[in-house]
Amino acid sequence: MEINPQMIPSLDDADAYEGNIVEDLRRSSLEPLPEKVILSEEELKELNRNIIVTTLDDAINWAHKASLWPVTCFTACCTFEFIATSMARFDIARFGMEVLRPSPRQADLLMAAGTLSWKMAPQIKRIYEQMAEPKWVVAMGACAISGGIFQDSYAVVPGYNHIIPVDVYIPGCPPRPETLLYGLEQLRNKIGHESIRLENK
Amino acid sequence: MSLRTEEFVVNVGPQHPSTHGVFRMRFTLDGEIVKDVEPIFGYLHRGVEKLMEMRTYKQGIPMTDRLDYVSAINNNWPYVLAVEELAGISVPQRAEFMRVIMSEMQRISSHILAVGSQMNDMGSFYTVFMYMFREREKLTDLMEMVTGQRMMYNYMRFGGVSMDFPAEFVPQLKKFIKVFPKYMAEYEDMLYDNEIFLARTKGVGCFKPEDAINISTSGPVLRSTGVDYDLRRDKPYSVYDKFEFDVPVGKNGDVYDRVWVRMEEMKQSVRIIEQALDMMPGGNRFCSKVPVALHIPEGFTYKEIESPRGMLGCYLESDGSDKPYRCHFRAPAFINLTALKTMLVGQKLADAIIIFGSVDLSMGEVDR
Amino acid sequence: MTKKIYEELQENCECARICGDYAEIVPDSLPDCALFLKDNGYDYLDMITASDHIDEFILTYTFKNLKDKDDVMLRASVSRENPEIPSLSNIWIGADFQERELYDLMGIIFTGHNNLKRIVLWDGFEGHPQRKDYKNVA
Repeated sequence: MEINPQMIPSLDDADAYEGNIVEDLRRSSLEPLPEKVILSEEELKELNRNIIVTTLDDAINWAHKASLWPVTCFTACCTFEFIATSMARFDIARFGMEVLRPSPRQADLLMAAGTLSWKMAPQIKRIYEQMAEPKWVVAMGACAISGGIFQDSYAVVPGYNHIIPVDVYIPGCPPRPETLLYGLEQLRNKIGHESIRLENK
Repeated sequence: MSLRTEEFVVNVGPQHPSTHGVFRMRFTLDGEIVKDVEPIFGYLHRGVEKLMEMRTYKQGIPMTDRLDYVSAINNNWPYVLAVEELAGISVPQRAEFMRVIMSEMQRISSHILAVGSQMNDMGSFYTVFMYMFREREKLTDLMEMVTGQRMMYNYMRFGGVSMDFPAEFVPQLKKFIKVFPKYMAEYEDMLYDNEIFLARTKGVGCFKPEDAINISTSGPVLRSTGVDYDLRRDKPYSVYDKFEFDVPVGKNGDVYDRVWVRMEEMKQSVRIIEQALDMMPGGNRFCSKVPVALHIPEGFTYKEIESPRGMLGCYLESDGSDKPYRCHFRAPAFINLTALKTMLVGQKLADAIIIFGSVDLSMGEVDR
Repeated sequence: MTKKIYEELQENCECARICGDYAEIVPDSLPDCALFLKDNGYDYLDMITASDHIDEFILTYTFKNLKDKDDVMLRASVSRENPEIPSLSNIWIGADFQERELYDLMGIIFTGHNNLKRIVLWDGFEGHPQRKDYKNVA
């Protein structure tokens, strides 16, 4: 999404400009985005034959998955289960994720936690585009997967995957901390199958 | 020679490193001093009031849970009270005491989060927050023992509550209450003797009682200015007229007073829970019989309770069918936000974040 | 106690009728009624809401007396073709956001409000969702 650096004459014009962006995004996001393709069976077999690249892939994937830094952009109630997971009882720091970065340029994981409304959708898209590759997205909670209990509302996006591509979906309303940790484990497994030789990130 | 200065517009939010949710403010600054502030919200507007018109009465109870998601049980109460008044359903005494106990536990939990995230805003990078979350996890465990859920409890029903207390709940709650004052003393040590806390909160964001009444604020924000009004004591609902408790009232209306009022309210909640556990009648009647397809006669009503953020009310209008005709929530955080302009103009930008944190918002309630 | 304040209200302002524990008033007399209540101790504006009754909108106002612990409820009805009512935001600042929200979701125009624009929905949203004839496009 382009940010037009023109001079906006007044604050009311700024509101109208943002309203236009929301309406455009709403009209263009009626279908979910296609899922990202990960390795197929033949590609996995070919990887296993090449010993040297496999070790290098393992090393790089281990570095990626052992220190995923989330960006703080939580919208609603699932925030508090994420915070409870990062506190002393469930301790997300043992996975290297306790470093919550406010700036998306310094993070590589977007925890999509909470209901997304159309007014907030351009901001989430902007945050996702500002993150540097490699980056992953975890949709946490029923509202992030499909709109949840608010699915038929006039102001709710029916799932984050209409706006940004999602890697792992974690169900629950809100998901318990144990569920969240299991979902993050699935994400780490998924990262473990990536390879520097294939350009399907 | 004088410097040429001009005013500058700074945008804070909607994504910012604070646990208060998706909220945006546009400051007009002259150097460091705030000249004007415009709060912009609606980033979490889900259309709850419209959705409740499309669901039956009973299906609306889980939707009310998600309004003020930090203190979920308190949101069920005004809706359930409004339906009970229109339909003429009575509540057994044991259920009333159970509602009071769960609400007061939720009040402690919510104030813990409010004070903890206030300290986060001041720069104590999760230290006090982590200590306070220890208690919140214990309370969450106790509530999970009763309702089966950690956050969105869906506990109250028309005519009572959804399930009885299990056998091991009351002894564990009594143990928690006995130990909690020791932890409160630990928090007071961390806060009231801390020079940085005192310097950053005393005299910051002062708010006069006349302004507080004119802006329709309620809850700790109103009581910190010196106005002595608490719905639990002044217009008692349920069984609150049977308990003996004090209502903490501040003096200056600054940020320090608001934190003090919340800490004192936690102690009073413990008193109420002790008295409720002693007075609760035995037996196993926890809900009156209510027909499955509930049709409510025509009429309208407005019921209010005292939630941790202020006076939460539900205006319910029914037309005789099994779905509400109009359901509106008077959200205390939404109305307390109007006070932001009065409190922030003339302060420095660094203080503005702390003052905003002391109003204790929950965006699900503001945007509905 | 509540009955007495309603009788005094009826004497001093244009009150349509008293119905039990609330009073119905003419929309144009709302500022006078509100100022009368404010001078008599009911100086806390509690809630403003509205509901759509097909050919009219009915607004509900509640006021509180913090010292005597008492409440007053007023209702006013505006027509659907011309949904205008005087604003209370010059007397009470607390009415500001509530009136803006009703304008946003219901389309009721509060005359005299100095900043009546959308608050929870974005600029450019078409329609007023809380009305009964709004069709959900989702």
